[in-house]
Amino acid sequence: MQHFIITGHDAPRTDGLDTIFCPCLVGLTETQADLAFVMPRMDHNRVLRETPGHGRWAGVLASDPFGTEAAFHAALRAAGYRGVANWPSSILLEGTTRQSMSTIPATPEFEYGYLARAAQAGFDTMAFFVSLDQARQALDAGLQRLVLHPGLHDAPDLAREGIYRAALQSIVDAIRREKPQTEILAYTSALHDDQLGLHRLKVDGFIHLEVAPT
Amino acid sequence: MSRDFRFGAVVGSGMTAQAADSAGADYLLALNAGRFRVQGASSLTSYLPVRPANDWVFEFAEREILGRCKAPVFAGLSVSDPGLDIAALVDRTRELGFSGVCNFPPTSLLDGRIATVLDREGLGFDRELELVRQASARGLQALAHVVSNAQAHAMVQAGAGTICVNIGFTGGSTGVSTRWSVESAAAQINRILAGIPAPIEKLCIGGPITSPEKALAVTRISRAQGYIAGSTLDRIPLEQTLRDVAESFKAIPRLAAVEAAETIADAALVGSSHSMQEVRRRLRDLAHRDDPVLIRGETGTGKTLAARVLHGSGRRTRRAPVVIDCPSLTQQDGSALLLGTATSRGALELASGGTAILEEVVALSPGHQGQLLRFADEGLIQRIGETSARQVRARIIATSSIDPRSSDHFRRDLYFRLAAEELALPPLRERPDDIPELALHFGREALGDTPRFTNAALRRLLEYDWPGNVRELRHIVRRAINSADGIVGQRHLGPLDQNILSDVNTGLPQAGAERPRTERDWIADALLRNGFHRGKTAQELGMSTRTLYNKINKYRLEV
Repeated sequence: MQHFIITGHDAPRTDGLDTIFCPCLVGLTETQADLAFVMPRMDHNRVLRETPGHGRWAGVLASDPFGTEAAFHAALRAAGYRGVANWPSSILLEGTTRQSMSTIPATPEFEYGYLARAAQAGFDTMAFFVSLDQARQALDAGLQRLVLHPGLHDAPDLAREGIYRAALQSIVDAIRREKPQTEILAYTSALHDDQLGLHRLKVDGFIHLEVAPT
Repeated sequence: MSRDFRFGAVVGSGMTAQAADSAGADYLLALNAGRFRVQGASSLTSYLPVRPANDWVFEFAEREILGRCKAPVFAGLSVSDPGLDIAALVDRTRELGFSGVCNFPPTSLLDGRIATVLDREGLGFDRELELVRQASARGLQALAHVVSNAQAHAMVQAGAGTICVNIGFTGGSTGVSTRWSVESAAAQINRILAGIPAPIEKLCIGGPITSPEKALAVTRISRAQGYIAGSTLDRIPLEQTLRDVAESFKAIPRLAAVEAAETIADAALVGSSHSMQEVRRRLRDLAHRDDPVLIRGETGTGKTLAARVLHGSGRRTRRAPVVIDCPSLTQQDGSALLLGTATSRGALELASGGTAILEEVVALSPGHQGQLLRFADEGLIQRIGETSARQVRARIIATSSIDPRSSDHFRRDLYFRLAAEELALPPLRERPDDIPELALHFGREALGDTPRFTNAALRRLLEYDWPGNVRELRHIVRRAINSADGIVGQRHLGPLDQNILSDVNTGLPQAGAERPRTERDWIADALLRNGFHRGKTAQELGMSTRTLYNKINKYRLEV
């Protein structure tokens, strides 16, 4: 079982867990962390470039329209990052927002294409997804380590956590049937574990959100 | 009742701010979206963690805009960051010298569960209300983006002096689709502004409004008093202008080549107007393709000349084009001319490996249309008197002064084959900006030197509506150059409209005569002016004697 910490807090760890450094999460609660993609409060990728990686993973804003991927990858490599993940991500967008953001382009498909190019550039990759369709897009892009996000919940129905978890598990199982060698992790947090019991999902590992101090 | 049209400009740089300010903008809105656009990125990037929105707005506005413009400058502020101290943000806004704030990017434009969670967390519209309250309390103006009537009223209560109805991300060439038409947007604006009191200024932004004309249309039929231009102010016109200018630079070598080979063709394409730049751009795009092209335009707009330019810029330029004057193809010998006979090649076969230009293709008889259809469809022609077909590869360029679809006699299936690509040449009256440039061009052509026109003469040329289009202008200018002694004045132009025939003794009624409108009238007038001398008439009209002869037959102007 693999365990990663995703955090916006740049501080050395003592527990030896692999970390995904994701600057835009700093100061956000578990719920707010899912909104980071639409909070224009920092130059996320710049913070990544300018912060030593120490062998961590980088949560990358793939839709940043500026700069070149080659220069960005060179900077991440020089900073000492070993892998990249598409977080913050457009995977949670819906409706006209999703359609409009696609003009940036900010789409899951674009992010998976970016991750595939990052893999060619020598980085380990993991692809966040929220639906079976997105998982298939990621697999089609050649990505092999996927991270299931449980999605946004405008009004969590705690009484239905079992059904909800079963639905997530069915997505995981469907991916395994289609591509058995795929590594599937699940994104979770203390809140998600508490409300939805995500830690009980049968997956290859978990990405745990660490709520970082401001 | 006439209303004062209020205009707000979204600005992302000193250049756009100063330009909008000097044009009389009532507000300048320094928004991160404007900055992203001038850097070549989408407005939608304004929502992403690509730059710290507020610091960035402060930085570029302080450096490039504040203190340099007369119009009040509003700071577009994002308050979705839960760690943000709104009071401190407003204080800083005031200290920097902004006149006001606006909630940008507005979270209300987001939809789906991400919007619901933003609101539930108190990071959406409620926090934007707080921004307006704080700004109002500190003496700053507030311009509020809203998407509903409830939001509009809440913002007024919070102290907003200007309500801007946001109809969604701007559509059009931005790539974003909008579900609103101008009419439905106006109705939506009215719903949202219902009950908003008179002292509050009411504006709109986004959606289907992509031009000043549409903005005016919306404000005429809605409660909005004005419009805030974002992409419509910078991205859409700037990109178009830059593309046009860049293409002009790129086109210089090509145009020079055309000028050497086709002086007359080049003349027909002179003009810096957007429409002529578009014509030249389309011609360049189409030149290296083999698709059939239908060129439409009124008489004198240069259809055949454009066809020759198209041929001359393409891959088949080594062979001269074969020009087929469709009105002159008679029922008797037309088929033989088109398809050939057992002993001679027809026009279509002669065009093999090159281009067949079919002038005024709508004039083809039904029988000839059928023959052309087979050629257009399969590239096959069957000479008259032969039993087998021959394969011929030639590009077809057809011209027409009327819409073939409006003709009861023209086959619709042939139209679709000939009009794989369609190019419309604008009448001269729709591109008056090109008239001085054309006049100079024709003057140089006649004089060998750059002519001089008085302002009054140029004004008259600009005021005339040119039923004979470029061809008529060319004639008038040449005539004026010949009669002028150095500088062309009004009197050298002669009467442009009803008395255009007065310099020849035609015996036709002079006063009250109708202006020539059709090609038939135009040719008849020229024949009269030139005493029915076909050579002189053809020269004046800029066409070959044969073409003139064919047109005389076509229009039954036999003399």
